[in-house]
Amino acid sequence: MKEVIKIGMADLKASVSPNVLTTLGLGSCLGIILYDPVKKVGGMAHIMLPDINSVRVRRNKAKFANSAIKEMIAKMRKLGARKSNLEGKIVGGAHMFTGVKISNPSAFNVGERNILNARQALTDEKIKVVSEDVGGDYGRSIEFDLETGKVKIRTIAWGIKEI
Amino acid sequence: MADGRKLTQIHLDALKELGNIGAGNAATALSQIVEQTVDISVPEVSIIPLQQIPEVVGPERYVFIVYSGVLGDISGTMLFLITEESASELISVLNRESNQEMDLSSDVARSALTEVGNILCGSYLNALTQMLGILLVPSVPDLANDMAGAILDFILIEIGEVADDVVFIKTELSVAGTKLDGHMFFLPNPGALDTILKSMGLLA
Repeated sequence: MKEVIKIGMADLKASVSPNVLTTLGLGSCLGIILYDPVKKVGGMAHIMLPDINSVRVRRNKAKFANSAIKEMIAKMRKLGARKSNLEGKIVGGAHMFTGVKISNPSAFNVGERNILNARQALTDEKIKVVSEDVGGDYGRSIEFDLETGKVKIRTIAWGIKEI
Repeated sequence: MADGRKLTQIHLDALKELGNIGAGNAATALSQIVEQTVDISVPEVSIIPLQQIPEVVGPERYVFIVYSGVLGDISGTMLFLITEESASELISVLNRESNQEMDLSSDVARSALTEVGNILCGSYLNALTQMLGILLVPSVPDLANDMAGAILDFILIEIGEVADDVVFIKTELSVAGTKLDGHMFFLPNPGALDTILKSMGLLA
């Protein structure tokens, strides 16, 4: 039986084929997707911030790009994935409010920082980013099919696409 | 709570009462503009993990959100969120004397929605200022429309750097007897809540 597993904000999960991992309404947040196409084991994280080392409150590892990737790899290994098989995809990292960059410099480009840090953290783990759909000024929902490895992206303004 | 302290029911009741007074002020201000009865109530005050906020309306729901930072003696964020259908209704109430259709994506409609959000947030903060004797000023508002989760995450990211939980003061809105699916949220930054409770005499 195919099960659809929901990942909330600042949350991460791993599972196996034929299940589907999904997360809704990514704005500046980033969806990080890892997949072992041989073992058909996948993981998805909905991260909010680029770097766990730059904040005080560190309880939730799923909140940050670098710590979420490490955590996800560990979970996927327990399900039988091999690290050397892993491929990465990233989705999201938009810039939602145009005016906020003036009044609120700390939120400036957090989407972009999430993208850059996730790419770097994946490179550090020697995981190749095989495709991505990032940036822009619109929200995205994603559905990751662990049987095929395909990621379906839904938006209000631009419809559906697959990576 | 963010500062490691647990809030009691008394604290939550006090925050709800503050919310009611703020909402009453906001309702009066808005009813003067639309020349219709406006009711705003506060059905709920709670402390929730910040990742649950998008679930309040559904993360994929198409919404309009007016965002305003709160500056002054405390800092935080105020939001006015309204679903697409209710935003259309609100615009048609505002536009009823004109015989031209107003499209939600037009600059005029967007500016009107922003102004409504600004009035609601501003009068809410005014009430808090008067009640608590602390200065609260809204920053220039901004409007975004997209999936609720996508807009909210941008706002919550900033809070996420310092906290895992937020105080969520939910408000409900009706104009001329029609219930609109619109809500106001006041999200005080960590530490701001202590200042509020202290000025109400509920914290030593």
